[in-house]
Amino acid sequence: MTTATAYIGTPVSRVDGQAKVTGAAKYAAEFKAPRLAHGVIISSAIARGRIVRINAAQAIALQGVLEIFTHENISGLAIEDACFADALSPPGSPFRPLYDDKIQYSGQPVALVIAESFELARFAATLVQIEYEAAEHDTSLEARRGHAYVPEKYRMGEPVAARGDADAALAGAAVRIEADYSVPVEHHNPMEPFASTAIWEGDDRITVYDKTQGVLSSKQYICNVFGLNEDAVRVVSPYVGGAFGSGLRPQYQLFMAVLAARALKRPVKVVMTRQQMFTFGHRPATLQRLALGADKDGRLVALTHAAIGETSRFEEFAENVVNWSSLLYRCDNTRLAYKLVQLDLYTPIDMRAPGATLGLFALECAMDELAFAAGIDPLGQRWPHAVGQDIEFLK
Amino acid sequence: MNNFSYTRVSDVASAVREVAADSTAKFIAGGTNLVDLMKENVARPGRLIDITQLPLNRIQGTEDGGLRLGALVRNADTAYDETVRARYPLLSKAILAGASAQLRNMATNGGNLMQRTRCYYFYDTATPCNKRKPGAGCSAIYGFNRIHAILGASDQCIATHPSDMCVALAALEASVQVQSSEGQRQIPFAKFHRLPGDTPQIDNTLQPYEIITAIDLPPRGFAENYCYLKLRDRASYAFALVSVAAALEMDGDCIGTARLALGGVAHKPWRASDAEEILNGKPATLENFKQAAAAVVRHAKSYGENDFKIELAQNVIVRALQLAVSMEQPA
Amino acid sequence: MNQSRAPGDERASPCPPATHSIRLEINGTAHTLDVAPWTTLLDLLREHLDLTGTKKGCDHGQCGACTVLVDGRRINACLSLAIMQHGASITTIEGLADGDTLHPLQRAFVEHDAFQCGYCTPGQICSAVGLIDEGHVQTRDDIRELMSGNICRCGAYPNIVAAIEQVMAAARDGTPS
Repeated sequence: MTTATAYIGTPVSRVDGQAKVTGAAKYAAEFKAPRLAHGVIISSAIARGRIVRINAAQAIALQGVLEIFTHENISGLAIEDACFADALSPPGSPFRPLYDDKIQYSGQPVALVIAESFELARFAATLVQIEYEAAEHDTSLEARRGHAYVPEKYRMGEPVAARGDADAALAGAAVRIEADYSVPVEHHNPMEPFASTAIWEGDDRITVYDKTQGVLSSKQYICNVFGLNEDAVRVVSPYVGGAFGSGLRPQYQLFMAVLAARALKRPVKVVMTRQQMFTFGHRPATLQRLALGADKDGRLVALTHAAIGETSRFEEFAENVVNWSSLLYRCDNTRLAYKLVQLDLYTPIDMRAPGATLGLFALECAMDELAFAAGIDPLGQRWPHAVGQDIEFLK
Repeated sequence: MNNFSYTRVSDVASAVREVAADSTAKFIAGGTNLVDLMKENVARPGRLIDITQLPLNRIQGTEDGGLRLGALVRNADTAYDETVRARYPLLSKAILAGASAQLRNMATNGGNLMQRTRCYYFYDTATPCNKRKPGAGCSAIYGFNRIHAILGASDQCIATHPSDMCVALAALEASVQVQSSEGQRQIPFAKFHRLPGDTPQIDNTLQPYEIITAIDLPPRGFAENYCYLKLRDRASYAFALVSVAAALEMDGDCIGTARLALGGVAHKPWRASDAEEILNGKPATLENFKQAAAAVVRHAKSYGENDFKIELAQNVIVRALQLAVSMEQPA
Repeated sequence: MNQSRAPGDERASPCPPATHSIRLEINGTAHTLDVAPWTTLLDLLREHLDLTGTKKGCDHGQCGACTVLVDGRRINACLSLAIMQHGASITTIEGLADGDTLHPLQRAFVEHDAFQCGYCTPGQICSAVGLIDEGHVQTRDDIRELMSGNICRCGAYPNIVAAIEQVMAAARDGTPS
């Protein structure tokens, strides 16, 4: 057997299979270091407002608790917003953990407890008393749909121009359906929680085992935020226990681990809880309305597709939700719309087939409804139309 | 999880003595609910008394022809016990409908009775909860209440009891054997768990200085016609939205005696006596099943996100009764 | 030692807590360990013994990634206090292979591609060992139901079931799997 045929056409087991089935594969929270300290992140108890007071006296008095970092006592970070941006930051201002007393979104991290053991850090975290001044918050897309706006400049997914006259064609169509589709927020929730083990090596040198989909992105982020030299920072992504898009931007445990390691000059490990896995980038919720019109033979004559997506108050995340409807099926009269609503949640992030998952779900459901209304076979109804139009938007 | 001291006891007398001596002490056996609550800082015992070595781990017959389930027998072992499967299959099915295999291997019978509600707000110490802190308010009534009660709730608490095993025990009219330094007593199952009323912080009638030693099943196991039907958001490994334990003694095409209990709808397993009275002695017809089901929810009250439970409960009752008659496997 | 008290709480225990000496057998090796009562079996394995094969997915008994075998029974290590396992015999993923020879389930998982990211895998395999020993499986649906305590976000379920079926069939037929 020549090399050319050794792998093609032959089933091949994963090269990392042995490591994974024996437990030998190591993930970001599984690296030892001498004098490793453990970090537990405290999440805000409110979705919006501000921190009035933090009393960490009881927690810090415990033997073995090394430090409690809050917006009141961290230092040595970059001054400019731009330094906190990463390779995939949407337009706007990046979130800066532990920056000030403002609570900007539900689940925001507000403090970091470092101790000699995980259990001690977890316990000490329960002793930190935080007083908040809560403001009204908006976390429901449905409730805020009246505040939908058109972004000045779409990060992505700007609706392609209308074709023909969709309203007239819809009004004159022999068969017509209109339907609303909603998809709630979806969280990536990989089995492995986000974790970073930051090994301080002295002289501002640091090696970080980070759960990430982009080691260079994490590295750049650390260098910018903490003012470290690129050749003094090494980010290693060991095995990653699933990410599905959530690891495309550094998550806040990376900031926390490096902050503490640098301040305490010790290796620090910070792992998110499962609850905290719901507090960062996610697939945004959407509300969609589709109207389809067909002639008596079931041929599509009109299509309108409008979507409302979610973004945060500080970054503008947009994705390609509606343009698939103009691309997939031949239709001479189309109109697409896509607006955003700001919510008090962290900025959405790509998740497995971003945008398309949402828009295509709605489109294909609507096509089925149309076929049913027209009394024809759903597949038979589609084949004649399947063609790519408006492909330009993909370039 | 707070720091706590730990001790292990090997006899019941020591166990009740230890727990009476320290008001912050709690028993721990399987730990599947207690350790969970401690990690969430909802439970903060100063002392844990490990009772896993107590001689309460047998299943044996009782004098009246019933069956005594030791409090420390694991849920899995109870469900797979030959006698339980043969004589009380409703109980076996109910246990196997709950949790996961791993959790059933860890959890004990006594612990299953003592487990606390899974209300999201009870679990979240950042939100007001009358069960955790009387007078603080109930966040569920105007909040996310999909999994909450439709029967027997109060304006202070609409939490549900999450157990499947307990629904079957309610239908079978088990009794709970408890012991303290003062002696032994038995609590009829219907009186073990409470409704919330004005004191939602109290789940059951077990006194702080008492320990459950066993759960006694009476001789009647309804092994010929029974069904445990559990409806939930996933096909497995999730708590009930609504569950029904239906057990019948048939008399030809008529129902001789009916037992009906519901889970997922109230602060305690809901024994539907009104419905049983409608069914007893009547033909096993769809019409009678529907009538019984309507009686169960006559005083039901829902809170927005759990409105669907009122209709769902009736459908589950009717289907469970049909399956108990036909003894077909649920789809 | 420091006392730790929050308002209204009475906890006389010292902090950090006093440790207890326990004996455990882990993957055939006897250990004498000093553990604090609040350390779970999972954290004992991962943080104190460098046995990181067992995974923490949720820490609340809701995902099964922490499944290990204690005296032959599958349990969630995250909800078990290490101190309560005094005297027990524990098998983790690291203890399933016989030297260089993989356990039949490990081999079957590789052959059937029963994983992607691998994070749920040790828990799946230990759980499957327990499943087979329990002896309650008759059908493929039984496998699915009795393995429902192990979640896989990558969606390898069909292959996991196939791997388990293969091992069970081989055991039934007496053929090496």
